[in-house]
Amino acid sequence: MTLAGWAYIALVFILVLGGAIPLGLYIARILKGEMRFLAPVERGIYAICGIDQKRPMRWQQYTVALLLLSVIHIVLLYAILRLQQYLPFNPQHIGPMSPRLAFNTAASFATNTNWQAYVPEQQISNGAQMFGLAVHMFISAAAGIAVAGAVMRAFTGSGLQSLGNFYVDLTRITLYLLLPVTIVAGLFLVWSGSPQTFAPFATAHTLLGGSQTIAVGPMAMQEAIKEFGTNGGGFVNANSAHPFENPTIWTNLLENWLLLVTGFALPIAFGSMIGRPRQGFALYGAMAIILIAACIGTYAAEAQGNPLHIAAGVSAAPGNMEGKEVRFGIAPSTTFNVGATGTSTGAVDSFTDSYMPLGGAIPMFLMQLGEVTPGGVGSGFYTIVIFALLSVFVAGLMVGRTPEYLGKKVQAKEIKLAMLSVLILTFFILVGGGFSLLTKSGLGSLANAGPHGLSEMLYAWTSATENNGSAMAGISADTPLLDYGLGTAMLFGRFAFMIPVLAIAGSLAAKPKLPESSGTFPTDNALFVALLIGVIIILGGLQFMPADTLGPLAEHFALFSGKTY
Amino acid sequence: VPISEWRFNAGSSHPHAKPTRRSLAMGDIISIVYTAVIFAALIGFVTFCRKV
Repeated sequence: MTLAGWAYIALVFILVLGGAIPLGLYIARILKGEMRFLAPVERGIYAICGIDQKRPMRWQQYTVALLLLSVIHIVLLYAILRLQQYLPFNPQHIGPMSPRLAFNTAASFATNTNWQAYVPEQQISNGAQMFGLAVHMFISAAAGIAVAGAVMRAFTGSGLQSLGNFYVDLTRITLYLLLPVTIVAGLFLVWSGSPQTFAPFATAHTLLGGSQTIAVGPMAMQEAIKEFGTNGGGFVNANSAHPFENPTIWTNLLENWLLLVTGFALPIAFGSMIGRPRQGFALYGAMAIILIAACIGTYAAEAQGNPLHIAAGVSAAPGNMEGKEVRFGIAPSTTFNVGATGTSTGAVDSFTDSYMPLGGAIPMFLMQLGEVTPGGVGSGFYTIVIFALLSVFVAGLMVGRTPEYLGKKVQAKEIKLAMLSVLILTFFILVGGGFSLLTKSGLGSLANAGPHGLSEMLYAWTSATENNGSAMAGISADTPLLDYGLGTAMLFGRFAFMIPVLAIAGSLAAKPKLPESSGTFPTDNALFVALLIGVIIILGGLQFMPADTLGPLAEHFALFSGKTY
Repeated sequence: VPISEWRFNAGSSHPHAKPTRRSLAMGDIISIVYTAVIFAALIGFVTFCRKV
């Protein structure tokens, strides 16, 4: 570990946690409808799409609108991927994707997962990247923030019947948040050397007389929304380790900031929406403490180096550099990886498969916590609200108080729905991963034996179900089992989680808002933050402890006794 | 191994199993029907959550 490494980590957190506050206040203004500088564009969109912006939606209508939009977009993206050979902007004449891989990819991008079981530069045309994948990066991110906004509104008043209008939220978030930030960040990436072109791939001639094809395309803008929308789908297979996606240490810093800042901004927006900023800061604090601890742990694990390499005479000084960009080194790589798994981004500038067992276990554990540190755009916020409800319920059980959160009584219905949403994720990760390891096809996908192989499969199901999208490099993901299985996990991990969340929001919105009394459990102090962190780790994480013990923890002890897989 | 094949072992390249037009059409039907079934289940789940 070096001073420069610690300084880089500190800089990332200062910029992210500092930047999240004004951004959160800005998002609150968007969700309240106070941002009007693009009002003519907004009205034009409503007119073309036939949206009545004044029409309120109950939670069921809000949910069905979300599901309908998503299914239409999945079918559209599926069609683009299957028919890309007939569509424009395909200078490499790339053929159609196979049906099952197109299903997997469409499900992946519609759910903000961006799991890539394909090699982008070989299997997707520039046109399909820009008009298929990148468009879904905007829509899925906006949909997540819209649902977060709906959950925030549930706490703003008494007896509310509406959670807002899904289409209006979607439009405003895209126009006032995602597009402006993406354009500015994209221009910075272009200035830094990232390509933004529809030209065919370049061919370079090497000194030895060979030739090399270099993928180029509309990368810069896609890179910007890839990070800011916590999407993660790289234009090229090497993702943000590729010098065109991530040309310099400054773009690495920018991308790290982009992928983290909105997740931390949403609790601030929440505090502003309900007029109680400290409540937002409590959630923001819990997210930050877990993420900072994870970042320190991963940095420490990677900086110590691989004992087998050291025993073979490799210098321990640079740390475990296998699978990492020499341009970035340990601290920027681990900070990026922790940021991308603490959010649902899943982008990589180094490869988790090559991490030390504990260094790779921490990113996987962050996903298993439910993606709340700070989680995907929108999804991180509404997931931590679920944990907050469970925390006040646990606190109520311990001290005999009726649980309430922000003046809303938390009753059996909300707790049943909250546990249902948590268990859906656990079911797909553990049952899906376990089943895959019982099949010949699943075992055939693994590149490594023993605990490392188990980690590869567990990581894949965790990543898909939690809508993260990162992968351990060894697994071969394009098989019928994993294409359809992981696609199903992505869809249920996204929507079967959102449905109970919106049901809870609808139920709480309709309840009267009770005034605080001496019996109210405070939810804006250090005690609540500690309780919330405990509930996240126990309910979110410990369910996976047996599997994690057989995977990365077993591999850690085996490695230090000289055995590798 | 080229870096493009590093992460997922070359994704969907299966040169030994060249798909026919018929198998592709069947794949499309399976994928679209499967998507419809999942979303029908999700709509059903909305009703379930309403009744909890």
